[in-house]
Amino acid sequence: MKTDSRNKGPAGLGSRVPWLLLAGCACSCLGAVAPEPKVRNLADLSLEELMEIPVESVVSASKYEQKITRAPTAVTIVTREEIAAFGHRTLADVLRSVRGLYVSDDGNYSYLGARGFLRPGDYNTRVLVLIDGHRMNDNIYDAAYLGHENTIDVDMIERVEVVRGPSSSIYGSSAFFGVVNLVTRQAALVDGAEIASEAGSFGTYKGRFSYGKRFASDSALFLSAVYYRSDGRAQIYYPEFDQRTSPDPRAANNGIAQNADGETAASLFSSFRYRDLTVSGFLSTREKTVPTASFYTVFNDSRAKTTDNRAYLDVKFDHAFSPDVRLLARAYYDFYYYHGDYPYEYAEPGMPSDIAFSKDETRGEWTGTEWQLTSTMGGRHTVAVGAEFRENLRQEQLAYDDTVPRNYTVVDEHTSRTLALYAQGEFRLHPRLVFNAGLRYDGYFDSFGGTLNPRLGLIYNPQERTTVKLLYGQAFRAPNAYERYYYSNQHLVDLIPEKIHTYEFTADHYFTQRFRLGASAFRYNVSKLITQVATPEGAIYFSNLNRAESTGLELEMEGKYASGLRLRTSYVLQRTKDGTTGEELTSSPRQMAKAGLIYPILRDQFTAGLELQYQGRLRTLSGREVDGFLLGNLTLSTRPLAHGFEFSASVYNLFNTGYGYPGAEDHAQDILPQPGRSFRFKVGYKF
Amino acid sequence: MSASFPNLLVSLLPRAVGFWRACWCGLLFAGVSLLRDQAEVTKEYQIKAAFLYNFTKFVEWPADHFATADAPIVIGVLGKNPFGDELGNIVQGRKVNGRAIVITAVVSATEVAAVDLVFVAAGEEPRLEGLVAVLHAHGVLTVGESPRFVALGGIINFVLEGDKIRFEIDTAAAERSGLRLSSQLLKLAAVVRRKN
Repeated sequence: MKTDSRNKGPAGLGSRVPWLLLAGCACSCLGAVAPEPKVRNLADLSLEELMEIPVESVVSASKYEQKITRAPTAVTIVTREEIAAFGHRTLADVLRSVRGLYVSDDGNYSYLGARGFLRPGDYNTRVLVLIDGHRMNDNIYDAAYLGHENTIDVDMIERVEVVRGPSSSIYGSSAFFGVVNLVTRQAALVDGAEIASEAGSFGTYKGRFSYGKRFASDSALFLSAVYYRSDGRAQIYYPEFDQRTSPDPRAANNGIAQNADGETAASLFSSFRYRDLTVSGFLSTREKTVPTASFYTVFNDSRAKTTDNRAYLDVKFDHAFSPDVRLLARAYYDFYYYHGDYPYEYAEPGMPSDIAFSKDETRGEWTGTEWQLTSTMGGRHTVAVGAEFRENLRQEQLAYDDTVPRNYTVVDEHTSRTLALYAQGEFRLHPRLVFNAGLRYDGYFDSFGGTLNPRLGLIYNPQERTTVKLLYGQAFRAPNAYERYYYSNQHLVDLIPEKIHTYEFTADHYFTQRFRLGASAFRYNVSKLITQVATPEGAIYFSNLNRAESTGLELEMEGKYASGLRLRTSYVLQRTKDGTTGEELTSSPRQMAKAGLIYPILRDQFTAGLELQYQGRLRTLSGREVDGFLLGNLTLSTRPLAHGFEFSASVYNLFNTGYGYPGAEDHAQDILPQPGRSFRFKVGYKF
Repeated sequence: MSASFPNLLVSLLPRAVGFWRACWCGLLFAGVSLLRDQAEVTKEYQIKAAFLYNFTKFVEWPADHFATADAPIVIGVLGKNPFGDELGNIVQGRKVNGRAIVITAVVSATEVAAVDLVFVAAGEEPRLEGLVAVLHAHGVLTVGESPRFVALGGIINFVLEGDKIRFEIDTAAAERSGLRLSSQLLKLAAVVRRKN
């Protein structure tokens, strides 16, 4: 089968290489049916090598480890090997490759869309991101971050668990459309020091140092430091700011934002484990120049910047009292700081320029503790009960004109606390039937009171290799500090949580252990969406106004072969509707198709990773229909070679597709154009 | 489904249309032909089967354990067999220290006493109760995959660390069975339990 695909390779050189790679893969799929090579491979592996092979299981769906096929949600796992093979640079890149998810980018932050929902101007408040189970959404905007800001570097990730659907029954607020858990690398697997550096298009450089070691059998240390900088695109053309064609008074410089896309970021992550106790710490900072002149700021001014800092300290105690009873306790302290510099033009048109800065400053500090007791009841059933208490020590928002003296337009300081109790059970009613039920109460005593969110799942195995799941869930998103306090008119309205009710049916069938076909049909109903409105006098405030719904179908096919070849393809068809207007939601592609292929060129030593991502037509905020686009990324990478070196070379946007993502209310641009073809080269050294 | 997806591809990549059709047909065909591939063992148990084979290389049985110098090493699977034919495929034609390896299913105490290594799948531990003394007396290496297995006096226990398979070792239990486990094996173990 290898000769078969190799013969195809050279014949396809030239512009059609990726297509033929895919064709070659199809041929290899056929060839891979013979089981012999795999068997011989596994038996020839040493114990050390066997210990490196991943078995797919998932922690974040129910907070205790369980097999994917038993999780009460639709789960996707992306491993470190896949992240490396596809050359993913950020969490946004990783999530883009996952079935049904799509990510947009406004030159400052990345925004995750799921099941057809990506509300313009929503800073990922309806997705929960965790690092090793630690909540990463901040306590002012409830935002999750997917780029170089406020999260760990992708090279520190062992695997990403994407749990679709509502998980408020375990995680509380923001686990609305899904949960993304980042599991960090294990010290014992790093086993030594690593240095990696990379260089790419747009003056992009990254350096990383990591060290991991297990000392004796009961303690381990992992630490990693990353520095990243990028000049960004030297010129970005926005027709909305081209003074030759645009009526916008801010239009200038022929619509070109020059040297206004720079980014600098640094982060540090470390964790130390001693027996049942794990202490981990995270520290990060990022500064980004904003090229889009968002929020009516001056166009083509590289002084428009945002700074995001994030830190946490987490102490986790995970102890098994007996084979059946396990306690997980966690205590944490978190910090978030955001600073935005926004240049505004105060001069009348035609008068000499008079630019002054308006600044936003946000500080969040919170601490909390979480306790969970899990019992496996002799292996037949699993029951978990838990409690979580969070104290927001500081929720501070400031906005001021940077004059002497400062003219404050927003000064708001708050503290608040929440308490949650939950229970969750997995009951094996019959050898082939598992019933999964969860319920969580979240008390928000300083605001709307409390909310109760259940999740139910029936998981049925009609036969050993088929899993069918019937799922129902509810989730909420509590109004955040920004929505509750930023605008002075907000006292007019008492905000309550947004709510989602979901119904989902999934079916997975393993034709062999190497070839899986999955399908999922879903219906999501969202109500009480918090929406920005204005009084007749023009004063802005938020209100629980909108409803929306989404219906869709997802198909996925996955093949993994002993030769190392992996193929994952998916197709999603979805329809969304605004419950108030009856119109389709904006930024909601009607269909998406994805293919990811890892093709071993020289056994495991040298692989090619090819991604194809098609995003269908969608409506922008202005109501315009925008065509879909197809993106391709190609990465060639080696495993660690002799002397500990490894190399990787990537081409992003292989076909140089011209495409863009829809802008939000704060953008003059209807579509924000994205980079063309770009490159990255990476070298790693392990010792 | 909807017609616009293929149409878009037509406009974007005129040359690729035939390819797409061929590719999807090819994959569909691959799927259908894979239907006939009857191996139904999950990846976890393929790996565990390879582990079992490897363990035999790192264990020294008591001097009088084997009847002859070339008597085979017998691996027994107690009760439910999650390996399918995988274990047999793995050890087929392989020798460890000049001994062939034979796989057998075991249920009763007499059968268990006749094997050299016994694997106990999760959920099958109740069968072990009452057998532990027999296993110790006959120098049988016990390998399991659940916390209860350890509590019952098992020697090597598979655990999942993240999504990787690891194992823990109870040296006291090994000693009771008169087995010597190589230091290399102990070094790789995630947890080593020694005598209190």
